[in-house]
Amino acid sequence: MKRRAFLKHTGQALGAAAFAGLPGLTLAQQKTITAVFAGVILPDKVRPIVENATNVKLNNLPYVSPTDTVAKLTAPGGTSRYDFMVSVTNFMRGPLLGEREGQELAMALDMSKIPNAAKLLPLFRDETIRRAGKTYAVPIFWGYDSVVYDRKKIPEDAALTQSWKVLFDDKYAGRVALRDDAHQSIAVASMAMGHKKPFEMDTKDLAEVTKFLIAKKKNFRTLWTQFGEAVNLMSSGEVDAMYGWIVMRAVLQRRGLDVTNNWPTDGLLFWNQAAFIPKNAPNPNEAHAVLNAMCGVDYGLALTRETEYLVTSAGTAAALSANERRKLGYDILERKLNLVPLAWPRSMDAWIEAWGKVKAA
Amino acid sequence: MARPRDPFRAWKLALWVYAGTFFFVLYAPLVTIAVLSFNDSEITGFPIVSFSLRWYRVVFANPTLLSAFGHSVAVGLAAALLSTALALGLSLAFRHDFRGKGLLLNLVLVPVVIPGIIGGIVLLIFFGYAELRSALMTTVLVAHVNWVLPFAFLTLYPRVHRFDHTLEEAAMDLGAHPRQIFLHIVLPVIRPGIIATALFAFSLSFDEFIRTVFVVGEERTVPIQFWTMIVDRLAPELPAMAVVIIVVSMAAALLGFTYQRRADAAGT
Amino acid sequence: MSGSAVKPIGWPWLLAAPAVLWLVVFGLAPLVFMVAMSFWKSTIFGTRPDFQFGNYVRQVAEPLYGTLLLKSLRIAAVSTLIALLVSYPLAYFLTRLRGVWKSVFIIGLFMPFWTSYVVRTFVWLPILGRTGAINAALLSLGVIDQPIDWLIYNEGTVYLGLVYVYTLFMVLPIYLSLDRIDPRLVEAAVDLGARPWSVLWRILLPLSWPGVLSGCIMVFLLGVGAYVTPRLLGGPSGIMYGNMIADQFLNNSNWAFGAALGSTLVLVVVFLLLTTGRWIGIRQVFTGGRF
Repeated sequence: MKRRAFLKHTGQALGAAAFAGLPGLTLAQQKTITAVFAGVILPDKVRPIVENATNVKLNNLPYVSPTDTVAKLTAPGGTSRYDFMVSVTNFMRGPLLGEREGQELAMALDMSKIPNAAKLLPLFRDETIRRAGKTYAVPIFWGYDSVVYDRKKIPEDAALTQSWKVLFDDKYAGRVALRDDAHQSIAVASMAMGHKKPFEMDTKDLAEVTKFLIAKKKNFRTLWTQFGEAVNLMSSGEVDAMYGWIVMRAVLQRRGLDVTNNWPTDGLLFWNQAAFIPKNAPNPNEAHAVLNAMCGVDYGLALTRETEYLVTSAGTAAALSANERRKLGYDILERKLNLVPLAWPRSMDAWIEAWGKVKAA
Repeated sequence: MARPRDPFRAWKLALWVYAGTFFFVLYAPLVTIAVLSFNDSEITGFPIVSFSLRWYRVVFANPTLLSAFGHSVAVGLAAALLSTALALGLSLAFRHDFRGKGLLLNLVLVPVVIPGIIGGIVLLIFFGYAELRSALMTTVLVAHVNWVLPFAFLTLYPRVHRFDHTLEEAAMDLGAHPRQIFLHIVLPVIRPGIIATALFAFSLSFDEFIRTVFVVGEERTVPIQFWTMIVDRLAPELPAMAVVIIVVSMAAALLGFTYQRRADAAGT
Repeated sequence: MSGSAVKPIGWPWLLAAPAVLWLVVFGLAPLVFMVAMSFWKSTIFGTRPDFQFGNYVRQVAEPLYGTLLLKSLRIAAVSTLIALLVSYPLAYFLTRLRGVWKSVFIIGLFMPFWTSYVVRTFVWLPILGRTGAINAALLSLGVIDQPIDWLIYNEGTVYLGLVYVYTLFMVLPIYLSLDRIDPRLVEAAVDLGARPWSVLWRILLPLSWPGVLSGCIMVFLLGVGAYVTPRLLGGPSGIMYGNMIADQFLNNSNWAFGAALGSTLVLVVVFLLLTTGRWIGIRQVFTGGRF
């Protein structure tokens, strides 16, 4: 019967596809660990460096956001589901350590297995998350967020350009974009208004910033949500300036566009991400090895050259040329830039609500 | 004087023009995606730099993309089979009158009443507290069957209901056992309807994104893979992948519809 | 109803039992759990079952949440209406086709549905943007000399995005309903002197009403929970209730509040369904009047 045979063949074909899709078919000799981190820190070109050095395969789950990573950890069973996690240090500090001693959700690291962690840049030595003499998280990479803009449309050496105000000035109305993110966009607006410590704003200041954002809303072409979307906005010429990441600048420059980032005098948003191992991780030894590799110079050089994100390893910074250091921003301390560390605000609930009001207005 | 039998004859042209416009607008984004998939440029969008098959090569050489496709097919088949089976039971049950039918109907509709994002989050919370790991054939499958079951029921029920009772009654009068009746009379006739439902269910599962995003583990489905690709990197091969999927889905849809027409022709 | 007289296959509850079990375990139980969680308290350290009404008090005290809820309902309702107006003629068109063409067009209707909706929403920028296809075409034809800004990033684009994605859910049930109408009814009406509008209003629409309602409710439910479309296409004002819910889980650790927002949404939607259900008989709608 033709129909039956056809069904059979289709079924077989689909079944084969399904079988190929079933998990657990690779016969690797390496161990595989479950990891949660932004894919950008282990691009395909850089991945082999870590995996070969440690003989561990990293299976990283779809990354949603730094907060979601924390949520995964604090959810019931979260401490035993993952082996290795990386998230924004200041976001995790609280939940990771728990309210008091003994409630840590991460494993106390065996620093003897992580020799590379001893050689961090001075800027980050204090960023390690510690309690009672034990280390729980080690910062491995860092970066800054600023305005990515088209040099042909916006003059580089204007005072306005070297400030967050460039995103809010009516001069560029309709040609700028912010990120659709309560935390970062409110912080940026706050700094544009002159607040030196945006994350410590009180309710009154927050209300003022909200009003300011609502007033300036018509200036934004859109609020981008994804990496690819943001890059598209600039590359298609939809906007001339936007809140952007380092790696966006890198991609656009490589595409041949005359794009760079500014160094806002009112505060460069500066963050770092730290790696930790959940308390009951199934494969702690392998996780330690991976952490060590990610503090190493080989990984650091590869990552920094590929994505232009910066790493905390002092050896990497030393191995770069002075020109590279300047271009990438390793010298931000020497340049005496105003660094504003990205931190958890006093009330994230209030910030999210405020942002909702801005968008709903 | 012969009056035109079709009262809309004068509007026939307008209707065709309308249909043409409709399909044009419907397909414009698809055509755009297809055109962009051949664009030899790292950034998805116009202008067209030059035509190349580069991204198709990337798609077929990329194991994660292909494995995502495999995962989607696997969970899609499972979700289609499971939800069609459950829907079949429900549909057959609904042919009778019984107490609590209205309540049961509302229960069937609960997954549709709950908006997508809540459906996903609810399962995330639920599985989190049940301490169940996120995996393709457990958490993702549940999310997909939840989403698909109401649609499967709504598609299958009319076809089961349309089945002519007199055939069954005649068989009973001749002394046939209920199971025989089902296997030899009912099932062969409604089978094309079941297949059509299963294919519809498969497509719904294949395209499901918002619930999956909260319960997905290491084995990603195609929509999740797409989304991961655009979250923190450029994905120039995305349009090419989309085109591949359209082509495969079109083949599957063609299959389902052929069965549908066979069923209609056979006079279900 | 002949259904109750015939019991050829077995006890109805036995047949329905697996599905019922599934729905209770995986549909109802998680929902109940979410409602329970909406009364708990979330901090950065996690969520604790300390019973409190705070999450609901906050929704009432802060007008933002009511505003967003109404906005979502409004956008969903308008999208539904647009989808209905767009889909009905097309459903009718499909019923008039014969033979191979019918299959061709119906499959053609399904096909755009097969692209992932992530891709379908992503693709609007190269079409509607300042340097997108439409502007490029109009500029080169000399119709305009400046690119049109308002094609994208406003509420209109959200409607376009939603209707585009959900049209299939509207066309299908209407088509199924229309297709079942005996063409002799229409012929008889014409023979008796009915004009086109009468035929539509008095024959087609009433008989396809179950399909119309099915489609409307589907599209409405899908639209009220919209999350990706408003954000990607709506510009700086592209926010709906679903985004607020998502933010609680993705940008914050306030699961309890998110659960409360979610519970409110489900409550409102169920209430709407029940009220409209009583008016038109929801059981009748969802089974196309074939109970």
